[in-house]
Amino acid sequence: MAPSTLSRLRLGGLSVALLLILLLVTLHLMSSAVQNSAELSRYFVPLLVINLAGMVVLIGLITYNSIRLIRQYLRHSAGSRLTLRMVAIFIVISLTPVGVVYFYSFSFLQGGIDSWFDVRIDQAMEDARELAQASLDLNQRLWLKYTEQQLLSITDSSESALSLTIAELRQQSGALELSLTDLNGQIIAYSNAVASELAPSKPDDFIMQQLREGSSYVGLAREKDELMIRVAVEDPLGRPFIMQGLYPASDRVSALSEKLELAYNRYKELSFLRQSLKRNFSLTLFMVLMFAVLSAIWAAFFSARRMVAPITNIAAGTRAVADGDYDRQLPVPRAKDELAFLVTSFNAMTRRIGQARDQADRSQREVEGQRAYLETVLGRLSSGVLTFDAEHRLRTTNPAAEKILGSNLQRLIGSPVQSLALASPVLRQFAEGLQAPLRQTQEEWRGEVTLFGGEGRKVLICRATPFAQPDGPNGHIVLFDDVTALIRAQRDAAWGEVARRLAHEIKNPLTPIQLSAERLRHKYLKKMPEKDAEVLDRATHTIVQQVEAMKTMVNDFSEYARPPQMEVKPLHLDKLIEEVVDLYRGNKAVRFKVELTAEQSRVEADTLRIRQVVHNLVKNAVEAMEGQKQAQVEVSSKVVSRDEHPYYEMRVRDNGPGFNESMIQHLFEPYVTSKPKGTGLGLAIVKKIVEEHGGIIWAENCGTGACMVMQLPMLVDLALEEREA
Amino acid sequence: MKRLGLILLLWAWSGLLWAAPFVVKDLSIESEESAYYLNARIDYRLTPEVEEALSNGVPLILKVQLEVGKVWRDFWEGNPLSRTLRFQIRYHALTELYRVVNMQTGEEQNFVTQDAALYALGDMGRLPLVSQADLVPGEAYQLRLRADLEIESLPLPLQPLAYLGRGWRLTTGWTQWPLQP
Repeated sequence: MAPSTLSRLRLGGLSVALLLILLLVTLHLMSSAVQNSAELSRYFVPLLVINLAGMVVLIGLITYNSIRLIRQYLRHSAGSRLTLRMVAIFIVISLTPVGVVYFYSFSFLQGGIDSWFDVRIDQAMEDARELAQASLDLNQRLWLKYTEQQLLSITDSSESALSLTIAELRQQSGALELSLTDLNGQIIAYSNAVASELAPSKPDDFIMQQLREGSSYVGLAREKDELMIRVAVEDPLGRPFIMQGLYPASDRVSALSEKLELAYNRYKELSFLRQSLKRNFSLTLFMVLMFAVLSAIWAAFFSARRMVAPITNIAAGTRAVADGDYDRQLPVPRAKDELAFLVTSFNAMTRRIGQARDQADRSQREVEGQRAYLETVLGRLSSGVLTFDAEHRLRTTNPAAEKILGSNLQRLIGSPVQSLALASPVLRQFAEGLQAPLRQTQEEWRGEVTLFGGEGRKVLICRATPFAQPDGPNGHIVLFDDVTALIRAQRDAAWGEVARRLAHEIKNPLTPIQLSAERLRHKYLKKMPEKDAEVLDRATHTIVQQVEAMKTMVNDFSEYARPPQMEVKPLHLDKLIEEVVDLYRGNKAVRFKVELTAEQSRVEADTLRIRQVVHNLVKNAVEAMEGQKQAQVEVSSKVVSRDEHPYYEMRVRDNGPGFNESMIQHLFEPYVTSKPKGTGLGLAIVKKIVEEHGGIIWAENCGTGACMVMQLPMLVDLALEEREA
Repeated sequence: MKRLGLILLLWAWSGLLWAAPFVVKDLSIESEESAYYLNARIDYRLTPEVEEALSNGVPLILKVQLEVGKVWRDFWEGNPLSRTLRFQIRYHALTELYRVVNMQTGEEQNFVTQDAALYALGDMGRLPLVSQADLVPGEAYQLRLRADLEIESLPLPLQPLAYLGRGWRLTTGWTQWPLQP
């Protein structure tokens, strides 16, 4: 808005200035036309129309500006109040002297023109005219009388005699012209001082009419700037004669009367033109007044806007800055005044604020970048990372920490470490383990924290390191790793080694023991007395049986300790499960419910070993139901997503008593069994096979009964699938 | 602006209304001695405003414009006759006479009454127009005549009023009269 306001003002100002100049020129021409220019007078009306049109345009502009200003004022627009006040002040300041000048000019004009035509001068002029007329009247009456006497003196009747008489009479009287006519104006006799004038000047109809009505006529006439007295009389004796005479006035009288007539006519004319003159001057003066007033009002608007524009811009700029727009630069006024200084300072201020903001933005972006980088690093760490501030409030966490602790730690950010204890039993154990290390502010702490939860026993290796915070006392970084699997693997490895050695050490003497026992039996049973033979039979039988049992146990050990040699291939596990379950359907004591919904899914597995797993799980479930009425084993499969990767999940669920809570923790460890005849290696081997396939298996109590859940990664290699196809 | 235009229109219309007082009467064109002569009467009737000015000694100029031309002529063709006659009438208070001056010849006439003076002014007897030789035989010609009160000749202070005010636009308007050689 700001840059265009000033340029619009400049453009508008130039246009109106041109209009004002045009009006001024037309006013000047009008004034000249009124005063002294005959050439311009014919353009008076067009000039007036141009002037009026220009003033209408000015009035329109002023009206538009006024309405706009009032609207802005009512809207409380920036700068409108100041503009209104300045416009009012300008108008008052400019109109007062203009009004005073107009008032006195008008008074002077009216009074001045009237003073030229003073009443006394009027009267004097009238008196002079009447005096002249009275003087001439006397003369005229004398010539009338004289003409009548001349007519009476005529006694002739013939035309020739009358002509002579008339010529004589003319000479006697000194008349310029003397004629005798009948009542219709037909000339009977005529005489003229100038011989070449053959015809008398014909009296006009008015004189003839007056004569016909019986009245004589006497009046003044002027020919060739010479004043004369024209007389026309009817014969008092009743003869059908009309005598007309044209007598010269004296040179003196003629000259004086001419001067008087000129002066009187001029005065009379001027007197008559006085009103027009006043009207014209008044009109011109009024137009000048209107021009001055309208120009002043418009100039008031223009000046006010021009002066207020930078202030309005500053107000708008300030508002913009308050709204956070620091890029706003205001146009600097041309005039190098205080306003220009203010605007320049404002621009410098916003520029600096903008630079500071940009700097802050850059810093913030850098910080955010670093933070994102840190979060990414933390997110990709397999170790759990937690940070605590000096008040032991949780500040940062990473996904690995949430995964290890099995809780949503994000929602606990800001909570003190004691509050973590309330979130879950696992977190309570973890928090209890951390409380003491967090109190150490100088030294690093390393230790092991053992957690017991739904997923079993977890062993965490923790390290708490104090670190300096920028705004206060030391906080702590706690790093921890779940080493449960590691410990378990170590234990499994140890067990495997034990089993392998045990099998090796035990298996070797078993066959000689068995053979020796059978040999003893074979050699001495028939030779011995019946009573001893019976003892021998029972003893050797026991030896052989126990050796067999020991062999089975040793084979199981061998199986457990056997290194993996798998032949993997894509496998539709649903089909395999169906086949295995079908083998158990002969057992009428148990009802099977199979819901396999992952028919199309395949896993990459060793068929024999996976079959062994399924067998083992189903068999365990069936055996757990022994002696139970309405026993039911439910086998289901589905596809689940785990860490954005699809997994094949198999569940074997029974409606038995379920697992003992303390047993769940150690269910998959060797020599853990709830069955009287079990070796305790079944589930350990199952777990080993599942883990060899990259899967996981766990046991849980679900509603009524136990549930074994196995998840194997699904085959998603399309190329492999195509090869297979 | 619209209102101003309306006012100007009304003003012009009122001017036309006042065009009536001057009327051309009894016009005839006679052919004699290889020339055409005009006989006409122009009835000059003055409005009260003009009469007042006249009686106060303001000289009035009456302008008579005469044109003889083809009825259908090309625009570059000139007229055989294009003539303007001016007559002045002025009242002299001292002698109480109306003086009429033919401004072409300088000839003066005095009249006791205004009517007589105006009558004499309007009497255009045997005014030579064109010689027959100037006209193409068989071509249709027309005489155009117009008589006005010449506002431009009025005293300056009176002219704005005469242009703007009523009663000053006195004219016969252009009148056409056929002239067949």
